Amino acid sequence: MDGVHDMGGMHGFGPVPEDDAQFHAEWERAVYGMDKIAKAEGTFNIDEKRHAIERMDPAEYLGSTYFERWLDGLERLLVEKGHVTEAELEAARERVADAEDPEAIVPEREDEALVRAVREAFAADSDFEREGPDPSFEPGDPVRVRNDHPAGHTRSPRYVRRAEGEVVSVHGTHVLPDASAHGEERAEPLYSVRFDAAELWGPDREADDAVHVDLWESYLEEP
Amino acid sequence: MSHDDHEHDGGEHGPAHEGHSHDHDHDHAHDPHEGVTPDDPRPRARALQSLLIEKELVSTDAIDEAITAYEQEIGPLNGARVVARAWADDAFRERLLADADDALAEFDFDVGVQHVEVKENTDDVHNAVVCTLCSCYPWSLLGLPPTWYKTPAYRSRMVREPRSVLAEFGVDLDDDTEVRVWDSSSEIRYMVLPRRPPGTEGMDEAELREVVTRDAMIGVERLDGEVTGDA
Repeated sequence: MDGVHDMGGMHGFGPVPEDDAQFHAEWERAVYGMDKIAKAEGTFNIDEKRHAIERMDPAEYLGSTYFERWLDGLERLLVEKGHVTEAELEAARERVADAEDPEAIVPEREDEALVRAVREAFAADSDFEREGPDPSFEPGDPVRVRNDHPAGHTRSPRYVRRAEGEVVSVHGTHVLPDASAHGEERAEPLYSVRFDAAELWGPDREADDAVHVDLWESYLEEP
Repeated sequence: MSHDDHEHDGGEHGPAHEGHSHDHDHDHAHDPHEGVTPDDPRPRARALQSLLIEKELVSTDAIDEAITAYEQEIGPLNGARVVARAWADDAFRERLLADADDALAEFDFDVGVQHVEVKENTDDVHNAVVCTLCSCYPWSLLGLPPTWYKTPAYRSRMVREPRSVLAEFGVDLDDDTEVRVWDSSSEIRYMVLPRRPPGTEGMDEAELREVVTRDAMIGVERLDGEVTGDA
């Protein structure tokens, strides 16, 4: 989707903030923890999670901090997957609304099996390689990124669409996010593609540098 | 940006081994006002947490486990171990650059590995990592990403004007050094292999680890010329 999350090359955001913190507050840690547990339990996959965050209202997305976006995406996924309802969320928010310290009203619960599941999920290797079709391109091949604008999830950033680049390596055959975010697992060859700054930014480029983007076979065509 | 109203730890881009030292601060300690404001995210977060605990979908101890793992155990020391070995062992460096997944198998990290590619800085090339679409970051090697890495400013600008961004981090590059930016759009995670600084020739792997910084492995810091003989 052509969302506000697709930020590569946008102007106007100013200097990079000197904010080195991983978390700013306890509620951010709690959101991160809930997200990791849901992921460990297989409630959603990484592509569904990214797409959930991308569907946040664009003005809210830009006005939110990082973990506010996670919170928004987590709620959306839990509702869509049928684990909670909007009405339950609303009722829970009303119960918290009057609390002076929202953290204090959260009940305690111990669950050793869930602790083990989180630990095992962190210890497990990630493997997104699958059996699939042979690659059509090889290193050195010129490629152009297709001018596609799907309404669903994609990992083809806007700033490289219609641009020509060169395949620098083939990563193998990887799960295609465009399908995986919508409940279908399908694999395609994945390439590292090099783009010259001149091709992406024209005469306004900063220097003759290069950007590399990982792109799946169906994002690409022969120039 | 709404980050301004958050307390943060000052933005010092410290060495890898300091990456585990963040203290647990608490909401109520960090909010000078009692109660909550209408746009405060705390009630919404705690409402969801309460609901998920009632439904037995999450637990207090599992949330603590997830936080402890990444805030205290898994950090940039993993990446620093890899870089130190690459500096000390040419054969390992070649394996790492050719097939990082294979080379990393010889480490016993406390975390599962992701698909990784390592990009080597040279006299002519400076590499840097970004994720323009979200915030992909080599968690298994560097731990949790710092806030600045996840900001619209870094995500939007690093692909268009990397030299300006790097200058903000104090990295000034010669015109004849090519900047290669790696936009992490897939499940491949990128890490930069910084150049080994002069003055480190006599150091062993354990000492070299202390020289490596998280930011150098993201590509927003140069270790070159920083002789740290007292490390």
